[in-house]
Amino acid sequence: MESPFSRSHALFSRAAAVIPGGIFGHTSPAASLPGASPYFAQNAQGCRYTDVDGHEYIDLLCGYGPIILGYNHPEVEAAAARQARDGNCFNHPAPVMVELAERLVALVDFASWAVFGKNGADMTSWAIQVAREHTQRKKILKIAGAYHGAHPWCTPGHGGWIPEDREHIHAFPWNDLDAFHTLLKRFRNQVAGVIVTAFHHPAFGDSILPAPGFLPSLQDSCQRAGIVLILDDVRSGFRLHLGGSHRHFGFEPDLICFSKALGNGHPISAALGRENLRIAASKVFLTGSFWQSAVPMAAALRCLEILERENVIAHLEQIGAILRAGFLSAAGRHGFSLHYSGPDAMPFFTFANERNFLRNQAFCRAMIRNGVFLHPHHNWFLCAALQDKDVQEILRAADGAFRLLREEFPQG
Amino acid sequence: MPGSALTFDQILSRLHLHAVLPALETLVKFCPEAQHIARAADFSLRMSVLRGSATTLVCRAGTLTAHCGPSQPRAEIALCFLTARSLNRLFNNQSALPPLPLGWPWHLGKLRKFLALTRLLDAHLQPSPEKLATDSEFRRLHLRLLLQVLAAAAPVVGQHDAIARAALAEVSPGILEFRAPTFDFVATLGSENKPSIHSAAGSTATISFRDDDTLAAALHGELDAQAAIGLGCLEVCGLIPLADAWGVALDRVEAYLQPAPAVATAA
Repeated sequence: MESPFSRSHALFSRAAAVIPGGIFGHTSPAASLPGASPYFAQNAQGCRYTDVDGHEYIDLLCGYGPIILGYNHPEVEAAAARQARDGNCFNHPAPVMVELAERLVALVDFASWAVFGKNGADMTSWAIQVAREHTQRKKILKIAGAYHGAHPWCTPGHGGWIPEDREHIHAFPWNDLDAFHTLLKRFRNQVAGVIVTAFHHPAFGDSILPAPGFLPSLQDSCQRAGIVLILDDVRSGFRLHLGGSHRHFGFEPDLICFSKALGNGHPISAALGRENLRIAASKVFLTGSFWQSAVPMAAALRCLEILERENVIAHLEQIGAILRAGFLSAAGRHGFSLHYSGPDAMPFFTFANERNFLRNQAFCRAMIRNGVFLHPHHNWFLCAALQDKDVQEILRAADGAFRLLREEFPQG
Repeated sequence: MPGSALTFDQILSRLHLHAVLPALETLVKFCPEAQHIARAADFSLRMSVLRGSATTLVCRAGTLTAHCGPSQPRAEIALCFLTARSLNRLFNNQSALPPLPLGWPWHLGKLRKFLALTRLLDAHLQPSPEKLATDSEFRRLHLRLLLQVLAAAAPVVGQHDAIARAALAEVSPGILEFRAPTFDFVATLGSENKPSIHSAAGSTATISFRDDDTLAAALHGELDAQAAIGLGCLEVCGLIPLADAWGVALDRVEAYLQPAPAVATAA
């Protein structure tokens, strides 16, 4: 029987001849459902995309997060096109950079300055440099298993880094204040920065919200010890609170890093910080050939405007709640118990009492066959284009997928 | 996986004793030439490092069995190496301090059969490209032996090599199953730190090779695994990070057993 993904597979064969791995990074088939999932996309609009074999999916992954308004949003693309007509890459930044910095500084309550890059890791890696410059200390504390990018100090990959890259990076478990304080005591007056995500969203694991008091306690300890608290809001930024996810969870960092949703798919990241970090920030060299490109900045500016105007975050919460109730109900009807985790705008679920993800993988395979794209190992993202009718379609697909799963796993 | 960092030579000696030497058992089982030698052999041999690891081989009536566990049978011949380094040099065909022969001296003559078997194992583990290309039966046994050596070596490295330990410490423990469809066994890793040659019920992750070519490329360190997965030559199911972490341990085996596992051809 011919694969429904024959064009994807043919393209992948060509890719594998000229690109190590065929497709590198997080979109590699190896990380998801090889053979049962498309490898290449053709086009997208709103909350749906079409793969190169012509299959259309309602998308619950949103390009792994960047798409927050919906694919190909007309207003964002018009703003980007207008800027593109004027130019994108110059000898100097365009005025839009100042406008965007002003807009972001106005949105983020503690921030008095902003800088820009292309990807999340540009900003998280620069942020720890700023923390070190500001404090003149070496140590960085991070959460065990948290993702901050693919640079040597933080990559989850096993190749290409040496122990010395991480000599001064130390990890403690999410929500474990005792372990955090043990590290602070062990490295008294040596810790430059603590970097956290707003909630813990590891791949191959349930998302875990902050325990009451966890993030404020980190903030308090960092303030008392002169440590820079960095919020890596790359994944959750603008999905939980327009002013940064710290507002959603009730704490205040010193630096915040955004990317993903900022440009609704256009390549841009940003870091914002407190006034007292301005001098350190000015001393840490920050650049890249395309980091001041004007088109993504114009897209970001318009994206922020729409996020606010359309009250997108409330919509994501509302639609996410319907989705959560629907998934749990469909699973229950077919005798499955789920761990549904994460904020409703960025949900994920695993099957209770399962460690090897076989049910997740089978469920996602079935959903893809039913026209809904989601990931078996990574949290999902909702976008503003997702409407009630789409959610109902997703839940009908889920009902069918759970029914199939019951046949494959009769024990539940 | 609990364990402690050992020196390079200590780890390598364990690989020689617990991964390479036991492959003789499979060699005798599947190689007619080895069976012929084994039928004429009758010995029990214990090789050990002073205050270190040991393996006992028993060859009787055409069958060879390797014992690596804590309780090993008595042996007629015992070769005790004073250091891990001297054992490793012997396995690598380099000049080394001779081991202390313990036991009855008139049994030493039986070592000739053992040495003939080790030469044969060496030829199977480190064959010429021409031999691999022209003899399909030989190639299958080569792959079987290599897979067995790696599956036995990975837990040792996973327990004692700093890089492999760090990789494995980041994932939940579990059982990783290797499936090679043209072979009649499944190698598992992670269960009691030992490889086994039976199917693991409820494995946490499974790596399946579509064919011998893919397996050969993987075992020879020539496989682009990401591409192979996308192309359907390699299937990884279940807890993928567990397979990734064990992949690090398997890669680290090469750092010790370079260029490929070898046993002494002259003692």
